[in-house]
Amino acid sequence: MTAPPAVPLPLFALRPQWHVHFHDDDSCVAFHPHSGDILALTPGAGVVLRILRDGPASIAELAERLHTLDTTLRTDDCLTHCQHIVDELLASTRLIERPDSHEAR
Amino acid sequence: MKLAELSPAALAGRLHDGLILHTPPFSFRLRSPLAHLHQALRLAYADYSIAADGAYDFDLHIAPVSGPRRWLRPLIRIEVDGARPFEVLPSAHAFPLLEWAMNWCVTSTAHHYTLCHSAVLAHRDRAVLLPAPPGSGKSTLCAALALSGWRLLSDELALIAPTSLAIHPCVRPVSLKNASIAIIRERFPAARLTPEVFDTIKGTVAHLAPPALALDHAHVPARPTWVILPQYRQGATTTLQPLVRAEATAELARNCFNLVGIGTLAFDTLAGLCDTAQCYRLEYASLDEAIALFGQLATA
Repeated sequence: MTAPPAVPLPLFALRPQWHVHFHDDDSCVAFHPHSGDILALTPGAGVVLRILRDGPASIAELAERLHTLDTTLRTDDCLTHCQHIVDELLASTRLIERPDSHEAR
Repeated sequence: MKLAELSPAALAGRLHDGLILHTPPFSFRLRSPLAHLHQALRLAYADYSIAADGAYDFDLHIAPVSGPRRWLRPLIRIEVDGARPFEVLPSAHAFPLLEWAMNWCVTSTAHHYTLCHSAVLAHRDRAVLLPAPPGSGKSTLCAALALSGWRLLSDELALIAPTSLAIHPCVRPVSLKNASIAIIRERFPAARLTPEVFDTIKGTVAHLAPPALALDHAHVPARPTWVILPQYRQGATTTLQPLVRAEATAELARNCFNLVGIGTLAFDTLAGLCDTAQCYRLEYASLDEAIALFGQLATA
């Protein structure tokens, strides 16, 4: 299995304006206002979701849209990789709502 | 004055000079010499208020394209406030073109709302949003519910007020496509539909006139109570599965016309709406079962 690519540290520095909303069922949704991209994150599955505006969503496309362009990703790797991406996203974004139950994130 | 109160000749005269059609919260000034368009308007908008003059939001003019080819294949063009945002189409497509243009007017300008491609119906003041892509059975389900006691707010457009999250009606005819036309005709024989228009970009199209309940409450908003993602699948067992709120928000965002245009305001609106609503994914094959299920939701 190909190892997941390292997540470049400045990944989200390139797109620092993710806007995140936490729902009361522990899911959250992130919006990038300039591109229109939307990420819906569910507590069990960890990842995934929708990318708007440019056709069907896929993990590979998600990774690509998040500027990890020079990688060859397989599905299993992608899930792990995208979890990293999501963690980075949540760590670096400006939160518009963050209930106490989510402080551990 | 209602449109149905005009004789065919009087309607033709008004549409020559300019007829203002009130479809709250918007008004359209319509002009066209096309008799088959007049006929469709009489069916679909019979109970709508009209005026000869006064304020309006959009000016629409549908007219034949001149030139020698008009004898072989009559074409029409629509002008919206003097601009020509649409391709010419066969003359027979006049009414669907008018409907598409009216939708376009709203989605391209009404940014004081968060606008979603979604059917909206209500039980009393509680609204259900049915966001879905074409082919999902949204319009068929919407028409069936509207003809079964639910109040139609819109078949196509959810107008969501950003602060209050109230859903404002935009009551217009329901666009039925292909097999759904016969399904609705057979199940609701008293339903008033426009003549079928064939070979449009969406296939065969007919429009269902809104029931009286919808028009009687055309100014009454409803509060978002359910978000349901419908999917028709032949042979499926009718199931209603809870949906995590983030997925519901993302689906509304996918169907939002002005997400990028008004940005975080639209995002906050949709996320806030999904915080307050119950969110589900519906798969169905039987309209009867789906209608019964909606009845259970309304009375639960």
